[in-house]
Amino acid sequence: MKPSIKNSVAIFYPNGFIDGDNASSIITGIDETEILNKKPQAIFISLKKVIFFNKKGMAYLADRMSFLKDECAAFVGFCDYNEKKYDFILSLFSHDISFSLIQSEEMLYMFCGTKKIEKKEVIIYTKNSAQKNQLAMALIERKHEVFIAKDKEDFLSKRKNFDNVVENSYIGSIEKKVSVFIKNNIIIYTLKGFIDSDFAENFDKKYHKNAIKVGFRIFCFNADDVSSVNIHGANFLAKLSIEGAEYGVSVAICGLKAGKITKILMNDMEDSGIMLYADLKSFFEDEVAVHQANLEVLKNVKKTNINKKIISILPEIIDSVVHTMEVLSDKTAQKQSVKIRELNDVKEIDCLTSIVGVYGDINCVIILIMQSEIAKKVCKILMPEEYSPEDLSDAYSEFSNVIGGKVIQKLKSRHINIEITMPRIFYKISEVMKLKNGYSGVQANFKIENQDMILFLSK
Amino acid sequence: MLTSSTIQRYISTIPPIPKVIKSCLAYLDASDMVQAANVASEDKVFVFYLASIVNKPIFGFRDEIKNINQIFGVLGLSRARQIVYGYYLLLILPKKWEVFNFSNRKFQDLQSNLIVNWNKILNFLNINDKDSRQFISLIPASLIVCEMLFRDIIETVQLLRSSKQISFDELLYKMSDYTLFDVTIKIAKKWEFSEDVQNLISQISSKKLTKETNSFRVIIFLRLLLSYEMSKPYIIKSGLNDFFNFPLDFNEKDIADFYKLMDD
Repeated sequence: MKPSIKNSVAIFYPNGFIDGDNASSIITGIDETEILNKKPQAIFISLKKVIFFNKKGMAYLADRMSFLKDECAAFVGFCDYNEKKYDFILSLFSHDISFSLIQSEEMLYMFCGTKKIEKKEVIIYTKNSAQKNQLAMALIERKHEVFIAKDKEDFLSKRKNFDNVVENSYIGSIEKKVSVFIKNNIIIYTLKGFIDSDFAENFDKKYHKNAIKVGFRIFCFNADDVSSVNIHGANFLAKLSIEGAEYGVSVAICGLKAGKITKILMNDMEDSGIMLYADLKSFFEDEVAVHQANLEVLKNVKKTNINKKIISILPEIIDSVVHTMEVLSDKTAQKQSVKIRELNDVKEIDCLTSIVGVYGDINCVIILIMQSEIAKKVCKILMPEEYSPEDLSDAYSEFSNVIGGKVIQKLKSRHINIEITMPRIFYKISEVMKLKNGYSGVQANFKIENQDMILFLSK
Repeated sequence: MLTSSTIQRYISTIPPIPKVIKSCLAYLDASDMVQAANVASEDKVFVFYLASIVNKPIFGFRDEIKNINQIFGVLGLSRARQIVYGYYLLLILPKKWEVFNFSNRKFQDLQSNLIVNWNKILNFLNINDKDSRQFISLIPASLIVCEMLFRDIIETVQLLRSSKQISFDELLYKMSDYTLFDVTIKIAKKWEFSEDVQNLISQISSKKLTKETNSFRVIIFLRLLLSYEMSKPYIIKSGLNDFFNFPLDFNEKDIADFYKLMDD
């Protein structure tokens, strides 16, 4: 089926039914070749004329779009659907999708394409808090003025004041395989279903290891949606806790009520050092545990030096950082210097620092230090009007996560496949230096309105 | 340029229904299968057509059926009537498809699928009137109409379609004020289909269809069937897939019932 390609946006318009039998006729090899030749910014499938679709058909299309996304670093997904179809797609893929969902074709052009667009005022509402920020970032990049509704009530009361409403949309390009989010420098894994040998086998150990490498100290498993935990699952979690102890890392589990696990297994987990809480709320009320998340990290991680491979990805990283920063703050960054050096001679300044672990074809860490004033400007859109230091930290973490996502996309087009950890946030350079003391890396210094921004890339 | 006079000219070139076929239908209407078979056997092309349709896999007959008496016997009255009506379309089929990557063999596959699946639907809806059964045979006429009318302006049509996502019936309407179903109704008139059949065809693309409309469910299920058939891989590959343009406000139960019927 020939796609319509306008303003660097390719859209397929299937009609009727999408199932396993006909999905391969919607995006054929010929269509893929045409798209790869034209390299559009976005490739979408409109569901406007689609009556019914099933998982087999949608999975095939998602797979082909994922291929195209990797080949030409395009923004891919489905558009033109109603709330029912939106919920159905998310449920088909268990809310874990790598493609994007944009509610209408008109809205799609607000996110991408070369068509000249007027600046629009947009209100965003979605139940998924990580998605709110992703959607906002994508729209701000296109110079739109964005308002993020706090909750459904806020959204319903304010939507009448906006011409454009982004609801039931999802940005999938930088979604991670692990269901994980971060709060107050604590990594929170969301567990679902059965915690058994399958869970142990499929748990992303590389991700976990790299999160430790960038300095996370507390890992919290939210077990609210867990059906039951058996001996294999419990042993695996206990093992994670014991292994982490070597690096000063603690593991907590929330919401593991009686009925989901036997008393004996619960005791075994406690014996291995796992902290158990009734729910996430009570965990965050434990000041000692939360404070521990921001303490300095033991330095048992083996040191290795920077290599050519890491230096080769520096342009993509600089480009992603500078572009995202400029778009969000409307300020220009001026590059001052790029040198290979150790991080330990950076002066203490009032700043925010994020560390993101990169692993896969290349293993390294990206450290981004930004002076507070410019960090606040960059994060403004991601925070409420009146914000706490935690809000700023979470927003800076989200900003760093978006940069990481961009780096993934840029490197994919060079056939370099990487994954990233959630960003770990530090408030003092001295804390970062304790973690990365003696590591050599590439350091790029920037000035933004007399404020410093430092990018440090090391092993 | 495609105008209303192009369409008038096209309609005038459509041949009338041969006497043999009319007479065969009259016997089928009178439930006289033996006489219907006798009359049909006079036209060798007609017998060949009937055999080629009835031996399509979708009809599910294990052994090849060649004899005209056998053909009518295994089909039964209503299906025999539908297939005879389908023969009308042979009179306007192009020798070669130029606008679409399609063939007459594929066209016959589509006809057979529509007839078999439509009968499943009517049985499910418990509808047994003659008009509802027979008009399905005429629907694929729209595809032929499209092929013939756009043939001379295909390059312009392709340019228009690549720059703006526009369906063939939208294009036809913008150029001539006729919808594809308007043209199909004109053909139905020329071939002396009843007014009820013509009304049913006019409702397929109607935006004013409401639950109060006569034959509401018939039209809803027909829209589902046409969308379903138009989603088949061989139709998508032919370029005919965006052919019908009608409202898509189906309820979930109808879709579920429909899908179940197609799976049976």
